[in-house]
Amino acid sequence: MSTLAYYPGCSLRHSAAEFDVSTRLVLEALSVEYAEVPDWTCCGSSPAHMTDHLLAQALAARNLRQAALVSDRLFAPCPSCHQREKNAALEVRDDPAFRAEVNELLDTPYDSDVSVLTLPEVLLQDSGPEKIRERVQADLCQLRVVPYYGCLLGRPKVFSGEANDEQPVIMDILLEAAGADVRPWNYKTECCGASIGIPKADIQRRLSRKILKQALEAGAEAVVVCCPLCHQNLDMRQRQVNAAFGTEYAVPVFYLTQVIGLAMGFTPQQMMLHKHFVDPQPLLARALEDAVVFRAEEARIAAEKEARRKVVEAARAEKAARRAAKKGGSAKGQVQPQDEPGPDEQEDSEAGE
Amino acid sequence: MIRYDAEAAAQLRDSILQRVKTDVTACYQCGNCTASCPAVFTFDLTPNQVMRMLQVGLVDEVLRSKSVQLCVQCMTCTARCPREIDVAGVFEDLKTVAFARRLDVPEDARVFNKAFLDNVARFGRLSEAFFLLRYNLASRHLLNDVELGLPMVGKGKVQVIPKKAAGTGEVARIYRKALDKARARERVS
Repeated sequence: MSTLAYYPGCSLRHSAAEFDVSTRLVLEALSVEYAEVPDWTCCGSSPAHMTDHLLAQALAARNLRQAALVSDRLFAPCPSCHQREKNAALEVRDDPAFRAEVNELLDTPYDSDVSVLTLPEVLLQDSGPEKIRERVQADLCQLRVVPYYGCLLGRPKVFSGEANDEQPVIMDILLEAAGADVRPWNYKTECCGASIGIPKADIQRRLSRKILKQALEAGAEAVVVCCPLCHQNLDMRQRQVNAAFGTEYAVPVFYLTQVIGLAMGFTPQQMMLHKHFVDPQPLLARALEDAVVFRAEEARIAAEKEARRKVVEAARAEKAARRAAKKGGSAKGQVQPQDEPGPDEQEDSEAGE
Repeated sequence: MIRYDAEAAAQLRDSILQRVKTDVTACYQCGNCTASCPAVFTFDLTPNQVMRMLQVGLVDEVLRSKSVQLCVQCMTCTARCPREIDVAGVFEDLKTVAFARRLDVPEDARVFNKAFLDNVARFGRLSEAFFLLRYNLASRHLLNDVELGLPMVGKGKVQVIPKKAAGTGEVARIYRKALDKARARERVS
């Protein structure tokens, strides 16, 4: 596939640097080609579209114009950036009069047609679960996680590439390919509070608490996100949630690309796990140790089963040989007495019925 | 006193129809939006009340409501509306109208948005630390999130000294032109 234009967005430069680094390393390891959008600027995020529609679309269109310099396919790991860019791309594409209005605000006009993708979409389409599975080196089968999509990776479904906006699945598919133990749950697309954590903390504390609680109830030990703001609310603000409700949550929160990267053999340092507020490293270390024990146990059970199977097979072979010898002996005589059916033959006849 | 303004309501419904491409008169008050709303516990008007008020002409009350300011744009209401009304889109549009008309609105969401956009117009890309500082000053919540400040610096999650990105000039021009246009539009209507 052709080179992709990569729009990191403001959060990925600093507060979510680990999301940027893990995204780049994973894409390179999967040989997905990308080039950063030259001289990109802020997409405007929620403050722009909550202030003025034309402002929001023009700020996003500027980046589409810049992206068109390197590719006609753009992806943004941050779902908020993705949503702003995709929203503008579709409206400008479908409404020439509106495109003219947007272009009035830009220094040089945006005349191309750039399609916009989410990061999970890119990983699914440009790499695919098979390619991830082939590159898995670390065994994460004992890492029990829930994929948390948040608002914008599921809604609206025309934007996200998902078939169902209540139960999106792309992150599930990717995490399963990476070998993690993915738990089903019903809070995939509940809101974490987004940027309201700053101007109206009550909303964020309450919503983020619900998500952490439900993740634990689903049997998960960590939450996997694909959004810098979800990460901020669930990881950095987890201590504020605890302070507000007297809870003692210590739930590590990974980025999707960190889990995939760890599975592919990148180190915790390369995936920058040290940047997180709730340290995920003890959980990861325990999961990897448990996996060794689990696989050894699995191998032991398999070996036992195999040994039992061999014993049964040998017994059967012996019995068959005895019967054949007996039959051979009676065939020489004049009378052929009816043999009582053996246990095996009984089984066969039952199956036949 | 309750002011029903049928003409203003019709005008607003028309502009919503034009901009958001959704028709609030389709609402039949099932309440799915309100049942799904994660932030409704902080609202003064529930989303289905807002839809009804837009139908009957209580425009001013809606534009000045806390609800419009505190909507988090999670879009659950839109996804679940059986009448396919873009409820979140309507809330977004109402917020932009309140902004363009320079209405005095409750809550700090508008202060937050302004601090954010001013920062972007100045540096091209959001400088998170600088923006939060400005927001705390503007909203007079000086100690907001102060407990996160040092740990964030320690973890290298902030850029202490912001730098201008290439393209900042164009961003600032877009910001100025768009706001002028929005305010002119609301003066005319």
